[in-house]
Amino acid sequence: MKSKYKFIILALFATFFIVHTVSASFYYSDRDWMDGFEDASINTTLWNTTTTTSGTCSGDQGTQSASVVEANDQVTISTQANCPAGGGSRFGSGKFFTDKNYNDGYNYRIVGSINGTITEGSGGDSAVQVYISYGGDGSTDVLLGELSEADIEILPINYTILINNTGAVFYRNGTFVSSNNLNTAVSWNVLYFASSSSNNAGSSNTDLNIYDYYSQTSNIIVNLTFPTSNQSVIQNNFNFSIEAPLFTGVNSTIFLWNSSGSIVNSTFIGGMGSHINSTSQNISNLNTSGTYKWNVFSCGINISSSSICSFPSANVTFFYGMMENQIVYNTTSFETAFESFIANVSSLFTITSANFWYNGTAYATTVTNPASSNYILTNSLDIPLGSGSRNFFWELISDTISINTTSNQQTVSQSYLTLCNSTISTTYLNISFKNETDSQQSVSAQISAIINYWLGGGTVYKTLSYVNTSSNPSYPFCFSPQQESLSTNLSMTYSNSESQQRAYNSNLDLTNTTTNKMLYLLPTSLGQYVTFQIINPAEQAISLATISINSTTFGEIESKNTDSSGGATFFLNPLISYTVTVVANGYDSTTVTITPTQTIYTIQLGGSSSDEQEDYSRGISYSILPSLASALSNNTNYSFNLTLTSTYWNLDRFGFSLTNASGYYLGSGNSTSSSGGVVNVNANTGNNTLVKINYYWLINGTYSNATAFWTVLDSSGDSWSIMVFFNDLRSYIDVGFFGMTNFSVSIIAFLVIFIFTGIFSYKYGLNSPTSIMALVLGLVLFFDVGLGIIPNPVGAVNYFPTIFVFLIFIGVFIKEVST
Amino acid sequence: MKKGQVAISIYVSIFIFLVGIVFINFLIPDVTSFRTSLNCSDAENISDGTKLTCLFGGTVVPYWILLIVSIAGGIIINKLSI
Repeated sequence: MKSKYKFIILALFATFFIVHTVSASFYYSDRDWMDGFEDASINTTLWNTTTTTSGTCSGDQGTQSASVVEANDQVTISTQANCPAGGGSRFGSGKFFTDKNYNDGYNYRIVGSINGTITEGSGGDSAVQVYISYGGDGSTDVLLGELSEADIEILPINYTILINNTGAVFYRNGTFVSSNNLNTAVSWNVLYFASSSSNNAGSSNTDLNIYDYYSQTSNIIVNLTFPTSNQSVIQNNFNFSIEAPLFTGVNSTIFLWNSSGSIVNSTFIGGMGSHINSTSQNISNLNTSGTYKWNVFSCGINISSSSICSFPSANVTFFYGMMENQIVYNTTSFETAFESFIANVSSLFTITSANFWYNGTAYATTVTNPASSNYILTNSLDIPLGSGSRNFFWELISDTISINTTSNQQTVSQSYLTLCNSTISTTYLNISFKNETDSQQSVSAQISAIINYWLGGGTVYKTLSYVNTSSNPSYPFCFSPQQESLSTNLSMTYSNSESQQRAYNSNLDLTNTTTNKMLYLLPTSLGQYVTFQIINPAEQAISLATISINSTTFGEIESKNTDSSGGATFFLNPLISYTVTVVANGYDSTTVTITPTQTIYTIQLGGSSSDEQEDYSRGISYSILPSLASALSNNTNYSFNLTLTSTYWNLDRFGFSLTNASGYYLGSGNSTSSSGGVVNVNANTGNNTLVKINYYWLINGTYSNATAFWTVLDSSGDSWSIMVFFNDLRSYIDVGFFGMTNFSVSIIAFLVIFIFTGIFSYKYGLNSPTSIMALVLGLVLFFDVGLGIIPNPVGAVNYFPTIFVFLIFIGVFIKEVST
Repeated sequence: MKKGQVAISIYVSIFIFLVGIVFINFLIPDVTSFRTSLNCSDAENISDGTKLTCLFGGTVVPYWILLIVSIAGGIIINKLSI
């Protein structure tokens, strides 16, 4: 190479080695290290050599600088320093992996390289060194290993540092350098710097690269991530992760126990060797709702070839079969306020009912089932009295199990009505007084008041009892929380020295917009007591009737309830017209206008609230088949009919049920036809001795019913009776019996009647036509009605032969008697 | 006619009546099995001769009752008429 080109190259190199100022500032940086590890405790600190070197770097220190760069999966600490003449031992350095604990349970492996150059002064040695140090800045560090000695040609260096709970081992370019024990009393750092021997100048421009870092736990760490403790789930998946860096052959086994402690499932998962391995495993045979416990047992081989297993000390308890999707409620509320609580849950078991537990008190829950496994639980209530944090949850109940949802909290604040003061100053109600006179002077009065107040529906309320025996012109009542609307029931009496006592009773809805209520007092000299007696049409006293006295001039004067005698007394001006309104439950309200010149008035209220007794059999007619007058045969199918007609009421439902003598159910039927109809049930009498029918109709929610029965006769074993003979004869004739027809049978019957009558008449001397006709009538009756073998003429009434002979008999009898 | 003879005849007739009624219990199962074996209830599928046999068989018990009543009654009436 020509000399001029060599010079250029050297010049470029010289230019390249610029002396920089090492930053005098300390800074930390947290890095994301390679291989998926993050360790926020790895700090890189670069320091001013003047403060961190143990030696003296006198004279012009030039510029020094350092930087940290993370790129391309490596961290690079670049340092440049210049220590002029006078020397110093260490410069251009930094530290990393700071303040590690000796017994943190981790083993470390740091792999990297050192590149760059070190320029040493004459007669000195320079080096790049990596220390495990105790103490902060290197001044008290202890050298546990060095990677290189002086000489720029040594760089670059590849290094590996292994640090465990015993000590540190240093490798340079793959060769063991040294191993040293750690001081157990203090935390340690890894320091890096360039150095030169004392009294020699030097400079360095080096990069410490770290591109491989493992922080290996001494044990396998198992984290159970899903389901967590006391969680309710409906999924069969179990999620967990293991930390097992530098372990090999790692496997895990999921264990699942039921509430009795029996193992439900154990699932082996192999091939989990990695630094961090998260997995989700489905347990397919988990299909019964209930409380379970699970855990994971993991084993692996560490870098020391030892088998290490880990089993978290606490099993995780969870509930399978229910999952909370959403719970809607107000996190804050007030006493007596109306609040709604809604829970949306998914459940694998059928929720038959639920209770809502609020602050230890159970309330019935409305359960709806919009989808197959989705349930909506709804509760609304007035918040009970008392302030503080209130826990609530739902108790879900099925046929087999009971499970609670997670407990939530609601913060309840006080609601407070009181006479206005400095603390509670938002006036809701202001009561003031005037005279019931033409001049309507404002006056003062003393009051005794009971105010029931509530924010919600009124099932929970608070009571303010206020008595002031000294007269005041007004009484302002304030409420907190001032943004809420309030419902009240006010009952008070008021009076002063000049006027008679009056009462004021009212239900008021109040807001933070003040309601001004003016009450009137009538001076004693201007009025008289007037009693109103309230009676019903039967002239009976009506108690607890509300009497309100109003004046067109002054408005509402007074209101009271009647006592047990039906009376209430007011102090009224006999010169003024008042409107008296009387309201009582179950009666029509009445309003009268009077000028109370009398001391007693009687007011009769019309109407009665008592319900008339309805006759639900009105317009109802029915018939039952088979006829209740007939007996049934056993082991026979019958069609039981109820025909019911309603001409007055609209039927909600009607029908009947059949039972035997023991109450055993035989059948039933019903109809919802509003005007009636037919209900039919086919049933077999079996071997029962009695069949009972209970028939009913339902009108306006009122049942009307009755019972009847049939006797069931046992027709078996009667094959020997003479009835069987004639039944068989009839059936045989119907199907054909020796060619006999109905006509031939009737001829036979005629012959039998004729011969029998002749024999009897001859044998016993029956000469009277009447007696002979009676005998004939009897025989015809037997063959026709009894046996049914005498044919009936077509179109004739039933049993026409018998009727015909009977008429002849009557004629003969009359003729003989008249003769 | 001695009164004793009347009384004895009453006792005898009662005895005959009771024995005869008891004997009916032995006839009934045989009559039932007789009718069952001939299938007397199925009028459409039996011959006329079988029907006639069923009719006669069905009258056995009524005839027996009539016989017993006639014998018992006849003994009493006979002694009373003497």
